[in-house]
Amino acid sequence: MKNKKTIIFLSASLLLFVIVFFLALMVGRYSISIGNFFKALFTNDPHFQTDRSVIITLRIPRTIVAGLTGIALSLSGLLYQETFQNKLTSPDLLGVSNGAGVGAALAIVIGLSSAFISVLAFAVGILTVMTTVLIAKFFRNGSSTILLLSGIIVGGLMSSLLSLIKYFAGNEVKLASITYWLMGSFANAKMETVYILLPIVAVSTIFLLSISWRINIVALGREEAQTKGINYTLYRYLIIGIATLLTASTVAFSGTISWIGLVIPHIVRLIAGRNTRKTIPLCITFGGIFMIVVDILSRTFTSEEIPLSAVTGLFGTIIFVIILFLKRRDYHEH
Amino acid sequence: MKKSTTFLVIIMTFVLLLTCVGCTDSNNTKSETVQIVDMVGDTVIVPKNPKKVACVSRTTYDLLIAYGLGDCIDGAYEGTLNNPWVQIIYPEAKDHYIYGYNDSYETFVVRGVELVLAPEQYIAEGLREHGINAITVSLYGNPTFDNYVTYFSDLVTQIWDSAEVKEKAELWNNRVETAIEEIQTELAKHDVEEKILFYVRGDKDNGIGYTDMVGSFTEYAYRVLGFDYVGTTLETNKPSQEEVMAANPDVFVCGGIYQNINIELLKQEPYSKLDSVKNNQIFNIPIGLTAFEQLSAMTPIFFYDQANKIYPEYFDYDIPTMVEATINEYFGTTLTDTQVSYMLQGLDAEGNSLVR
Amino acid sequence: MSINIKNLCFSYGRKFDPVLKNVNFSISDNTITVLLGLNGCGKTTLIKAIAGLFNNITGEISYNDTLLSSLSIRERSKLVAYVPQKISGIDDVKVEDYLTYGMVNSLKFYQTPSQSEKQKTIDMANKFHIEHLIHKNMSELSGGERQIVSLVSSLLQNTKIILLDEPTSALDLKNQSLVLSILKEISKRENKTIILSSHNPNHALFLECNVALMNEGKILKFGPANKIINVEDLRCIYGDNVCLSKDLPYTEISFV
Repeated sequence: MKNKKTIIFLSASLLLFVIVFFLALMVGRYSISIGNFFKALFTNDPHFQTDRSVIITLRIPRTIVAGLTGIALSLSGLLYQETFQNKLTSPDLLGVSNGAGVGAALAIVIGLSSAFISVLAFAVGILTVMTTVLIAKFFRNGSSTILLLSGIIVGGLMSSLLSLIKYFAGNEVKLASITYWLMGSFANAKMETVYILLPIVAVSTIFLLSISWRINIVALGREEAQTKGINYTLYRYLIIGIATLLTASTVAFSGTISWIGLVIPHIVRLIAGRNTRKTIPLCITFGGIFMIVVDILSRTFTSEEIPLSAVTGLFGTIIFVIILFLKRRDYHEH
Repeated sequence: MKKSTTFLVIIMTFVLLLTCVGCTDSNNTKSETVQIVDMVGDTVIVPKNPKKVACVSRTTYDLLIAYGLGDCIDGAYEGTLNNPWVQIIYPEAKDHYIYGYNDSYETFVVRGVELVLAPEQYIAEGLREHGINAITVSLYGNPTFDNYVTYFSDLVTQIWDSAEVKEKAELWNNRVETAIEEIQTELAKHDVEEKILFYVRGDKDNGIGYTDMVGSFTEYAYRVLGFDYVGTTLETNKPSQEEVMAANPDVFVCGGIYQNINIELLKQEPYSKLDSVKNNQIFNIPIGLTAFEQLSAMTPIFFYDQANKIYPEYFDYDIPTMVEATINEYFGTTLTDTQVSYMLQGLDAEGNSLVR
Repeated sequence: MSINIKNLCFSYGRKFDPVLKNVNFSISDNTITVLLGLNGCGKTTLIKAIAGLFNNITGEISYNDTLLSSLSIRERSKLVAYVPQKISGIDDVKVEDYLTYGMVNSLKFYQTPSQSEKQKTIDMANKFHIEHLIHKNMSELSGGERQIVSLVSSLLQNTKIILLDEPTSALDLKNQSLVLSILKEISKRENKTIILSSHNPNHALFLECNVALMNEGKILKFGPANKIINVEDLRCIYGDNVCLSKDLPYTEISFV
């Protein structure tokens, strides 16, 4: 019975994904009528070349990047929550986002181009997680708590480094860029971004789908997983590695985007229960839809784009409250 | 133990002495004052004929030098002094201290600055709270810049009691007024269609979606010349790419050190599909000691230059000659023809990009 | 055919006192062994050591001359199953899902349980009369139900040896008796070797099994319950207040 429900939700959300994707290509500050949209996209009429250019060079890349970012962030949120047996963790648990923020801020202060901002954000993000893992190793204690604690320590260090960089940025121009970057935006998404992000997200997602059932057993913790025949340490580092890669690569291009990594896994678990075999595919569709809708909202209603984190925060909270309200019976039973 | 106590006493005495010296010093300089109303409407009492002024606001440095007050300048904002043209046009600038946007009051105390020309009200207020004379010379007027074009010029004549300064300021005011009137009159003769104009602000690497809104000098300048200035109706100075596409301007003007990069950006999709880009209606704004689209000695030439570029059928001013003459008159520097031509292209004196 | 433990020593870290001090004993196939002893005597540690949860033990644990430490995690999981005292991380997990997790070691990394394997789960649930629980969440179960589900999951792992860490500690009398009866049945019918820890000597008597009396990380005595469990030996561990129920001024309630 539960299986059927998952399949229904999965196919419905897949359909919705396609609809939302096309909707995202149709709406924006530059208005294109539905008729013109199809003519621009499926004919070669030179009359619509401006429309076509807006769709192809602006909307398609940013919508794909939004979708990929949504998938990546909600998946890594789910992975962290399952692996660390803590529903309140989000993808920046081990300091990826904070680290990436430091990298980006540093690049902005030095005055590097946007490509290097991404490179530095990615590199420092990954380095931060490695530091976290190393510090945890230093304690010679394999427990998740130590890793979480180490994540908090390193995360704290990174946010103070960020404050320091912001302080030294001084210049109001750079400070504004840093703040803007930290709130996330897809405005700089280009086809090149897609070419880099797509393989990373696709390969990680396919791999995660293939081991999706096993993640359930990893989620039981070291003792149970290991005695049931799972190489817990290997899987845990693999999962942390993939989640970090996904978060760091998307954050590097779009800045830090809060909430989504927390909200989507919760919504999905409320629907499908706690079975990664079902929640992972649902996270992919739901995360993608959510982020594309957020992007539409952020760029359609005002002449300046609203930072993504502002929209995810607002929109995410509302959805979250509604779902908790609808599901309150289930919570009472427990 | 005893040694350290002695040491401490010496230091304390030294500090005390220093403070006393500071007190007497500030008492001595407190001579004549004048009450002025600054650009945000604050009534402030400032010393008359100050000898050490910090030009933190961008529009102040150029005009003060032009009015012959270069010797009274202690330093200027880093954004102003970083421009390589400054050293060429006004070599004395190498002695000027480089200020940050919002330096702490101690910096000004240590340097003995008598008057700070601050870019924003909160900065001026903060400095005044610490007993430093500061007024706001904003880059923006409220609600529009219409009543503020000669505001700073007039302030200068109030603060510096000098016939020469007054004469130069009045001359400048007249020149700006003349330039606007001349162009307006000529355009009125031809019944020109109102063109939509988008100004790409290029002082930061923010791409095409970066402009100036109502209140800026740019908005005022293009509006009085009869353009439908896109920034007039925007609620932000950072419109999205689609917003710019939707505005579909007839003319793009690119200013700032990133102008040449932005002109290249306009030639790429999706902007390249706009009629204005296809018809090559992209123009630049030169950068001299100050960017031409900021109030400066070059402001009259800014109007002539833009009129020339956008309406070549009606105007044919000899801009290079004007630039050479104006710089020579105000700053005493003679530029070569090549240098002037680079300046008009928004490049540095060697023909390289101003972006570094 | 037996489990052999030789000179087994273990401590939780260099700075800590050893928890297991030179443990030596062997357990023959198809028997039940109860580890008895005070809190902190090393029962749980010994069980976890056999389960392979520590990698810094000294000494040897072998089964039929195969060193357990030489086996991979997967191979070991095909020989030894482990039922923890308290299962963690199962908040919203469905019982039917949890049961299938026991079969993970027979699947490739990308595989999920097939229809026939799922059927096996249901058959097993029926056998232990927990079919009414399979659609529930693990967190909705009572302590006894959870213990049985956990045990069934370990049976699905299809191992020769099953280790249980204090399976009765959180249970009421009825459930204690239920779980112990099931264990007794399994060991007889399914030819399993079972090792469990307990606080109650009566459990060992009820199971009619072998007993290892443990004290301060050492095995004091090992042998059949009815021989080992006598007042003198128990007093060595539990103190002088231990007595047989027939010596008591009141009648003690016990298993039938």
